[in-house]
Amino acid sequence: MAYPATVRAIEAELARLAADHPDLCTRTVAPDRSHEGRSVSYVTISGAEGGRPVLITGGIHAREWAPPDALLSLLDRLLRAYEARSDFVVSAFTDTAPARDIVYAEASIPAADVKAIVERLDLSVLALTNPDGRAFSQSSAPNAMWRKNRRPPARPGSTCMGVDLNRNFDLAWDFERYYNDAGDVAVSASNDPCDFQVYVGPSAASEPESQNVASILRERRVEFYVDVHSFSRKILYPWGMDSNQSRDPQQTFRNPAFDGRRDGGVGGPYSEYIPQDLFDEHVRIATAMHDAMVGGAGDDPRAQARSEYEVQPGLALYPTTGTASDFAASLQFYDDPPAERVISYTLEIGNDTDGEGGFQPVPAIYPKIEREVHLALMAFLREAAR
Amino acid sequence: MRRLGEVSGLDFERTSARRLEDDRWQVSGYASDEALATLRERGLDVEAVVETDELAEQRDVLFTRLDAEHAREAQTEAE
Repeated sequence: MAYPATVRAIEAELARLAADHPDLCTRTVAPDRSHEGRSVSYVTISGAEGGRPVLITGGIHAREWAPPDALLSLLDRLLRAYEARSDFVVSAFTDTAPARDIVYAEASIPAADVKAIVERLDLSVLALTNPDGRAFSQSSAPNAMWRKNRRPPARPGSTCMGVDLNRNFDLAWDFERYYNDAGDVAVSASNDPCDFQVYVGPSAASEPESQNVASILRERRVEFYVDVHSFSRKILYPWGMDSNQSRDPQQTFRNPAFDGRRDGGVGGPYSEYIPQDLFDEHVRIATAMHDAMVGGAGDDPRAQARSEYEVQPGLALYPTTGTASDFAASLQFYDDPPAERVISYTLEIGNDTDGEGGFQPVPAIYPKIEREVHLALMAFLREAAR
Repeated sequence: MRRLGEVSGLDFERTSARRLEDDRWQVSGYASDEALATLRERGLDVEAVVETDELAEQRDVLFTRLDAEHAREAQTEAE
């Protein structure tokens, strides 16, 4: 499958994976069609009954072209390595762009880890969450920066389309109720349908694409989740809504006593509760993902430097509400019945510097981005399979 | 950050934002010439990571591939 994959190519690849590996890989059509009538499907890899449920999503934001492609190649290589009882090999890559010759070494994930991942996990991958948005983004260069889905305008005559799916999940969705003035100014969300980037939608979980993710999380009772985005070389763990604390379990986004008092910043009077052991586990696994990317880069210090991902909470700079990864994490506290422990990340792959192309890497550099996705996610899956 | 989001022709990636050693903030994105002018008028420093021509070349590479694939898909469907 050639990068960048079209929407049809992605669907075809999912079908091929299921057809070529019928004993291991099942393709499922998600419950809700997109606004433009596209079906959304995902595959589940499971080598044994009772595997720990894991979900990886990509393509929530239309313009982020690399994640769906890298997820599909991850599935292909994982399945082939398992069937061959071989290592999962991450190919070497030489960045031959002008003025540099940077070698990223070949890396291998041992066959024993591949076996554990396939046989101990129930791994679902929704590679392309937002097919309408991707189709629009790939329709012409002027549309390339489209981020949202393609919800039609609310009013006749309006041209304001789309919802930011990663602000639409049912988690502090009505952000204006949650924050004080400072937090409200800082929050990355908007009630304006004409906002090009972060319109939250007409109601919580209003969009078929976000409903699909939520239903997979709930129905499969997912315990490990990664939502793959681009760009900025970061591994983000909960919470994105506010800063973290592990002292006061009453300080949660569900507690109305704090409505209008949350500051959405670091060092303010309010911080979101996360149990210390859950926080520590997030940091530990994120660090394993980070180390896999840096360690897999080889000996060239330039390759290592360009494989450095920052591990940090989602609230690095500003609060975000209604995101997929925070929503997934919230299910262990507030769903009815509560989910099992959930480990949840947003992985921001690639960069706009170093010739990596930001939202849309050119094919010449794409293998560098792809290998980082594979190294990070295989480390994540190895931890999930422990 | 919210004010940046209101600049027409500016598409930035919010998670790229980082605090610099001198306590300023840096964020990366794609900007039209008009958006760059607006940012400078607001007193913000602007550094070009990829020049307009180079970005256009990159888009050309990508859309040449996509257009070919879309044409192939359309032909397959017609058959």
